[in-house]
Amino acid sequence: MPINYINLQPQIKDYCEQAKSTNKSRTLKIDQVLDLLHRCADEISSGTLNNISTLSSPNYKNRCARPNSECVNQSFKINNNDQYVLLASDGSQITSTHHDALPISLINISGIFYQPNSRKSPEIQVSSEFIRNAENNISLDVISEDLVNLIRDVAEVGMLANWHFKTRLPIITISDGPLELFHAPRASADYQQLFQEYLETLEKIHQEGRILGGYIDKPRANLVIRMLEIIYQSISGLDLSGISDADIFFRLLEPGSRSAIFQLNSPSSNNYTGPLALHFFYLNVGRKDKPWIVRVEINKWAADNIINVRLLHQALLDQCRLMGSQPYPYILHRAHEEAVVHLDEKEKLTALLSFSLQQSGVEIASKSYKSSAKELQNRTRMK
Amino acid sequence: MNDITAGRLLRSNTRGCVVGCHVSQPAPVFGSMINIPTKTGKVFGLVHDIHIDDDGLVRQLAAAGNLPDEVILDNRINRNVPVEMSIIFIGYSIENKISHSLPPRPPLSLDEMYICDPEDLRNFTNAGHFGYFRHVISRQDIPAGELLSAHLQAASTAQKVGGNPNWINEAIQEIIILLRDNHELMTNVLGAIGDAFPA
Repeated sequence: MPINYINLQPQIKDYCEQAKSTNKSRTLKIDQVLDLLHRCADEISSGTLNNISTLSSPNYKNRCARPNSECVNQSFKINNNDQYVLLASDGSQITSTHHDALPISLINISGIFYQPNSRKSPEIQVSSEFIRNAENNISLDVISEDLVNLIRDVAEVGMLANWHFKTRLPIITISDGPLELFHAPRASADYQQLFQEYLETLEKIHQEGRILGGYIDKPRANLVIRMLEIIYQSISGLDLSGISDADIFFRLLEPGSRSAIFQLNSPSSNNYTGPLALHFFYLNVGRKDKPWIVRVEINKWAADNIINVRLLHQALLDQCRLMGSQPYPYILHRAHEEAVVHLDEKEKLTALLSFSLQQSGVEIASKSYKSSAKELQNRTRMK
Repeated sequence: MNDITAGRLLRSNTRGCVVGCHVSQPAPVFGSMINIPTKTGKVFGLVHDIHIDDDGLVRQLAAAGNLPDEVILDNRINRNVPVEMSIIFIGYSIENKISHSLPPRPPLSLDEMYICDPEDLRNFTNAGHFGYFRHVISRQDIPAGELLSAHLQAASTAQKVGGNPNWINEAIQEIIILLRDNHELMTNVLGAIGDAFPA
């Protein structure tokens, strides 16, 4: 029990008091944002909003939403029952540090193809690959976690682009997390190359006529709030910090409704050009007494076609309903289940590799003593 | 002999074992006689419990209400949810010689289990003089009456086909003798047999 609970007792009281006061100010801020959002909608429709151009130049300070063609404070329900098929992917990885006995960098990518109303069990593909270097040899060096994550992200969309099956129905592809890659592109050549590959794969999904959505559960973004802060920066003392877009759309969206589609303005937006331009909307996948807001990222090619948007909207609601009181797309959960690599599997793979290396007469380095010491069994009681 | 495997052994001891199988495999029913081939012969047993474990997703889906067929099939076919069967050992064979004693050594992990066909049933139940009943009757932790009743039904059918319709009467006589000092269990066992063989 390394935590000093006696030490923490008064701090827990402080924590609660601070949370109480923050909550009070949050409610006021949410009201203020809702007023500004309605005002923004009115000004856009009446043509009186002049300084929207301030949102146009992407830079680090301006990671925000930008109004698209729909009214920014409007919500949209669907009432269609169109047929579609779904493809989702997820990935997991094994990374190593120099403390490990063997450097292992591996990605495990799963894909799941689900045909609603087919009475067929979903099809599943899982691909496990060691990470290779530029010469296409399995990398025996320790690779940074960031790079492995990027390789995994590219492979996940690869699964969505490259799995072919016969269907006449629209294909909706769903990935877990945003379509905008975190911190990408970066300066180094291998990152740049992977990012380029990512964009090409997105383009392939577009060319295949598939609809792509990045599902972000419990979003923390404040893109719409930031948009309002920029538009109404002339209001003195405007402080909208500490709240997120989800706080706003909890109030604004009824269960099953989505927000307007916004364009995503970010430092990397310029890299997603033409049909790949990033857009998003919020969606309430919860129930009347228990709303739950998620963010869905889409590309321009999907955003520009209202039929596609409706299909994606419907598919996500259908999938979330399957999970009952804790709505989350069933297909994404299953893709995660099929992809996730647990620590014991890393240990099994290490043992398998060690055995094969020993049989080949290759000497194996041992793990660091620091790592071994951390794994020592806790003291046990004598029986 | 039935040559389609009905599962693989997960864990065992001298008196019984637990076998796991996929839901799509031909699963034996409660009371089925099974055999597990070993290096020297076979171990015979009766299925006395079948259990299907849940997990977090299954619990959440069960509470979610109407589920489409695709989700049910996904959980039954794609997800790794084995059906587990508990087996009580009732005998073994070495070089085709059947004994109604407990096997000298339990089978090993991942050994395959097969459902006994009527011929296997006849061969086993004709060997000796119902000595295997004691393994069932002596176990306090299994539904002995129900298990014997299910087994007698299957064995009696196999014996009738083999031209021995009197086998069931001999079996019941033996059970009465074995349980003459345990009135409560005898009532229980005979009640279950009575339900299985209505007059």
